[in-house]
Amino acid sequence: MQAVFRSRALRESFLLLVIALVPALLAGFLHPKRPVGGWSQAHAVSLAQARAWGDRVLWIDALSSRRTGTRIPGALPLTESGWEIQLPEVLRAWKAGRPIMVICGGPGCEAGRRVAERLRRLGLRPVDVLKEESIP
Amino acid sequence: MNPILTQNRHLLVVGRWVAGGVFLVAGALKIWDPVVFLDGVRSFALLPAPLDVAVALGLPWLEMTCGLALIAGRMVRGALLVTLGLTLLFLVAMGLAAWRGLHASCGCFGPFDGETPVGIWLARNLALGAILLWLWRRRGEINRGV
Repeated sequence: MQAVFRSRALRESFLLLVIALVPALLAGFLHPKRPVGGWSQAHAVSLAQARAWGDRVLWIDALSSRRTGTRIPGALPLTESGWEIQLPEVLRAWKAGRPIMVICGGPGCEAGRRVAERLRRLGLRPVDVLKEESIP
Repeated sequence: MNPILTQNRHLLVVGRWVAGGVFLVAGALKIWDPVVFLDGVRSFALLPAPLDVAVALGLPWLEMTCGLALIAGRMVRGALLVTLGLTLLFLVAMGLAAWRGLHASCGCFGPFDGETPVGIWLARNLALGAILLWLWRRRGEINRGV
């Protein structure tokens, strides 16, 4: 270990990592636009958790054109193909600061990711995506 | 003073500022809206949750720290090593995504990146990598106060 830190480049790299870690940790807890649900969210949100969030989160189902209904009660359908028709209802349901969770599918969550990106371009914040597979 | 030596020193400073500026701006834009970058990280389908969230929140700060170090001329060797590593990592991740048929979006410049064509993205990263490599090879001169 000591031999590694004899290299000036490695020593400085380590120091830069430590310096960056401090604001990164603060951002994880304090950033106003941090991901919804913080560290425990992402692909591992259970249906129970989703239900517990209740009305606080506005659920958007980006897959709804492929099936009827959704496993998240109250989720609104919004797809790229149905954008013009479905968007007004989403805008009516959203209030400033209300987190939006887009349910998506596929390896990169592409459809949901694009829907989320389009919502952000309209100024809606915060918007996050959740993989459909993580919902039991 | 030898004019060629002076010119060389100026080039090294410009190189540091350009590379540092790219990382500083890229980091700052990602920090501005980490969810956009998180989408990009997830589109590569390489990291499990919550590691992807950690990367989306932490990597931009590392980019910004290294960018500032390069511009300020402090801890240049370390900053060059980290930024070279990051550039290589981005290239490998993008290559893997292309190989797996994923439509990955790097989110390199946060919400301003949009749908950057792969060719432009590749050219941008190769150019940046070339500057960093050149600076790395001249790191001895940089540390002599250039």
